[in-house]
Amino acid sequence: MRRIFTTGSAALVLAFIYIPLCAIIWYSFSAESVNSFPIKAYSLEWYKVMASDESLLRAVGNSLRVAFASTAFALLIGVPATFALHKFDFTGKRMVERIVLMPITLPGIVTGVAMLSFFPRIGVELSLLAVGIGHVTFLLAIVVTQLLSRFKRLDPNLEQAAYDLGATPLTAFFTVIIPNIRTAIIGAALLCLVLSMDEIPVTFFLIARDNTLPIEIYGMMRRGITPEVNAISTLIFLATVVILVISLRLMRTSNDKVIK
Amino acid sequence: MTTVYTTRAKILLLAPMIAWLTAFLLLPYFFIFIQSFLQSDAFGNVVYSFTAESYIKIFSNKLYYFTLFKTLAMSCLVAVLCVILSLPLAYFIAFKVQSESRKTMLYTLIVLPFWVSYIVRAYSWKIILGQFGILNGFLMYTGIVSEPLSFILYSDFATIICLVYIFTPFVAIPIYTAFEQIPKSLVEASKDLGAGSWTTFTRVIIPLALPGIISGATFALVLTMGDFLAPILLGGPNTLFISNIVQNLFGTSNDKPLGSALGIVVLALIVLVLEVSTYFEKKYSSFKSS
Amino acid sequence: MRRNFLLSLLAIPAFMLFSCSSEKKDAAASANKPDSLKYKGATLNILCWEGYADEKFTKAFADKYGVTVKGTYFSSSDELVSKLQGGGGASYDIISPSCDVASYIVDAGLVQPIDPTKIAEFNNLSELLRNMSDVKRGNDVFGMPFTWGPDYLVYNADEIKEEPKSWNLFFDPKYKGKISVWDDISNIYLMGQILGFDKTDKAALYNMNEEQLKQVKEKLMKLKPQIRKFWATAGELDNLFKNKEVVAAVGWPITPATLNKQGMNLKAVIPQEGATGWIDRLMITKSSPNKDLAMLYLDFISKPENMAKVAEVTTYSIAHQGAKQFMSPELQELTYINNMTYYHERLNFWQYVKERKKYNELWNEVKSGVQ
Repeated sequence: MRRIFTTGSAALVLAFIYIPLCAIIWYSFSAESVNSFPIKAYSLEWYKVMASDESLLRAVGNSLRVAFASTAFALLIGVPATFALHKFDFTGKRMVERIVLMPITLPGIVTGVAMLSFFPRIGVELSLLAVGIGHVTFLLAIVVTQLLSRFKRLDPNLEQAAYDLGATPLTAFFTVIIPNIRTAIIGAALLCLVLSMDEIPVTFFLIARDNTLPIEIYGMMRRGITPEVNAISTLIFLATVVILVISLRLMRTSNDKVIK
Repeated sequence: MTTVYTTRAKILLLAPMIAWLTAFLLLPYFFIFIQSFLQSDAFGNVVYSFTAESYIKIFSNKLYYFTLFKTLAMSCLVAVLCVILSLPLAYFIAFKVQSESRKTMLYTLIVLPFWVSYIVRAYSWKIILGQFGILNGFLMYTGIVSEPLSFILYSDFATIICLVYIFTPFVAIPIYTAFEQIPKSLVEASKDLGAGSWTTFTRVIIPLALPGIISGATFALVLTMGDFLAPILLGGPNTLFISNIVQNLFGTSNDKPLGSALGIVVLALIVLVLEVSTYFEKKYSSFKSS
Repeated sequence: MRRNFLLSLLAIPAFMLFSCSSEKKDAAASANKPDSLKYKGATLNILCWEGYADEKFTKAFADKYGVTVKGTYFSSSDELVSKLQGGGGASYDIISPSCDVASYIVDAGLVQPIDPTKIAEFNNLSELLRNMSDVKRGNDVFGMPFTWGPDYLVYNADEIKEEPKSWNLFFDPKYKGKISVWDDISNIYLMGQILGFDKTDKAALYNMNEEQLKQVKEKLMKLKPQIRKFWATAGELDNLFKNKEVVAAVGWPITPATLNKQGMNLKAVIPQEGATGWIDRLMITKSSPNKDLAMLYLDFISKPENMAKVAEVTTYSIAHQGAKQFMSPELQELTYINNMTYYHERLNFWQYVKERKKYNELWNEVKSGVQ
C-alpha cells in the first residue's frame, strides 16, 4: 500500500512534467487550426506551414548564428581562463569566480536591462551583435563551471610529464591539456548551444528587428496561436533531446553529473 | 609541483575573460546603479541630476512595494510547490529504484525538461488551459463538465502552475543529489530501530537532505522573482509581477531611472535571499561534500 | 592539425559576428545605377503598427526594386518611443507614429524631414491631414499622412444581439470576465470620455487633473473584474475573440476585418459617449541607413492603388481619396472614404500627454490592483 503511494506519487509528478510536452508533440500532427480535444484528423500540414514561414526560418538562422558565434567566443575566452582559475592561486580569485557566476545566479531581467542601458552608450546598438555579446557573458558561466570540475580531475602528472619532456607551457596546454579535456569541451559547447538557442530574458531586451527563435515564438504567441507553434516546438524538443543525449554521453566520460 | 607559468602567461590566460566580464557585465550593472539615481523627462530621456527620488517612490508608492511583496509571496509559493512535487519523485529514484541503469534513465528524465526551451514549456500550458484547450476539451469529452471552464487560463493560477512546471526540475535535481548522498546504512538503521517509512522520511531523510531542499527552493524562488514572461503569457488582469513593472518601465513607460532603481532593489532582495539560503545550507549540512 | 582546428575556432566567431552586421551596406553603393538596380539586396525596415507592413502591398515594392521589406510591429506608442530612444533607432528606416507621440518624436530629433516633392501623390492626400501642424517645423515636413481610425467598441454579434449604445456595456455584470481592453494608457482617455470629461474641451482627456485621474482610476478598478485579459497586440485580441474568451473589447477596425474574413460575425460601433481615435503618419528615422529607398517607399505606398490595398488589409481610413476607385463599395463604406468628416465629428483624436509618466504609473497601479 505504502509502496503504491510512493510509486504512484512519483509517477504523477513525472506525468505532470511530461504530459504538456507530449501534448504539444501530439497536437503538432493535428489537421485542425485550433487545439481541440480529441483530435479529429491527423496531418503534417503544420510542418508544411512551418517550413514555408520565412520569418520563422530567418529567426532560426539568426538563433543559430548567435548560438554558434557566442559559444565559440565563450570557449575561446573561457577555456584558458578556467585553466588559470584551476591552476593558480591569486588574490581576487574567489571574486572572479563569483563574478563569472553572476549572470546565471542573478535574474536575467536585471542583466538584460543593465545591458540595454549600457550597450548603446559604448556604441553597441541593439542588434544581434548586442545579443551575441550578452550571450557570451552568461555562457562563460557555463563554460567555467563545466570545465572547472573536469580540470580538477585531470591527472596533474600528465602535464608534468610534458614539461619533463621539454614542452613549454603553451605547447603543454595545447597538446596535452586541451586534448585531454576535449570531450568536456565539446559537451560544454553543446550545452552552450542549447542555452543560447533558448535564452529569452537577456535577448528580449537586446533585440532590435531581427528576432531569435524563442523571441519569434513569443511574438507568435502574442499575435495569436496557430498549431504551427506546436510543430516548431516539437522540432525544438527533439533537437534538444538529441543534443542533450550526446552531451550527457560526452560528459559522462569526463564528468559525473551535469552541474549547474 | 613546480609552476612553470610566468606571470605574463597567467595574465594572458585570464585577461580576456576578466576584460570581457568587466566591459559587458560589471560596467552595465554599475551603470544601472548610477542610472537609478538619475531622473528622466516626460518621455524618458535620462537627465543627469542626482536624486534618490526613484528609491523614495519605490518605498512610498504602494504599486511598487506591494507588487514586490506580492511577487515575493508568489515566489515562495512556487518554491514550496516545487519542493512538494520534487520530494516524492526524488525519493522514489534515490531509495526505491534499485538498478543503476533505471536510476540513470529516470535521472535523465528529470534533467531533460530542464534544458527544453522555456518558451515551449510555457506555451504548452496555454494550449492546455484555454477555453477550447485540451483540458476543457477533455473534461467536456468525458462529460465531467458540460460548459468549458473559462476561469483557468489568464489568471494567477495559470501563471503559478506554469512556473511550478518550469522550475520543478531545477528543484528536483539538487534534492535528488542530496538524497543520494545520504548513506543507505543510516536509513536502514532508522528502520532497524523500529521507525516506519514515514518517520524515517520526516525524521531522518528530510533533515539530512535539507541543504539540497533549500538550494532547490532558492533556485525556484529566485527564478520566479525574475520571471516576466509567464505573467504576460498566462496571467490575467490581476497578474503583475515586479519584473513586469521593470520590463514596462524600460520597454513602455520609458522611465529608465525608476526601472533601474527597481532592478537594483530586486537585485538586493535576491542577493539577500541567496545569502540567507547559503547560511542555512551550511548550517544544516551534515555531510561536507568534497 | 590541432593548430588548424584552434585557428578555425578563432576565425568562426569573428566571421559570424561580422556577417551579422554586413547586411545593410549594399544600399549606399553605386549611386549612378537606375533605381531598379541601385537598391538590389537592401532591406527596408519598417517599425509600425500591426498590419502596416503587410505583404499584400509591400511585395510589389520589394519586387520592383529587388529589396526586402521587413516589418517589425510595436504595440503601443510608448513602446515605439522606447525602441527609438533605447538604442535601436538605426535598425529602422520608416516608422508609423500616431498623433499622440508624433510631435514629440519630431522634437526629440528622432526623425528627419521628408521631401514632399519626391512623393508624386503628396498634394492629393487629404488636405485636412496634410495641414496638421504637429509634424511641421517651419518649412520642414516630417510626416506623410497615412491612415486614421477609431478605437471602436468591437463586439461579437452572435453573442450580443443588440447593438450596444454605450460603453457601459463593459460594466454589465452579464459580461463579467468576457471583456478585453488594450494594455495601454489609452484606457485612461476612454474612462475620461465615459465620465464625460471631454464634453466641453476635447483636450481635457490628455490633461486630466488629480481629481479627474482619481475618478478615472476608480472607474478602471470597477472595470477590472469584467476583464478577461488585457490585449497587447491586435493579433492577441483576434485570438481572444476567436477562442470565445471575450465577447466585447476596445479594438481597431483591423480586428473585425481579419476575423470576419474567417467567418466570424464581429461588429464595431462608436457608442454615444464617442470614442478616441488616432491619425498615423509615416516618417523616416534620423539614422535611417536607406533614406532614398525609404522616400521611394513613401512615394509607392501613397499611390491610390496601394492605399486601397492598405485599406483592404486594415479597413482603416486612408489618406488618399482617389483610392476609392480601387475599393469595393463595402470597403468604401467601412472606411468612410466618402464621408471624411464622419470620424472628425465623432472621434477625440489622441494628443500628446504631458504627464505621460503619471498616466503610465496610474495604468500600472490599475493592473497591480493597488488602491
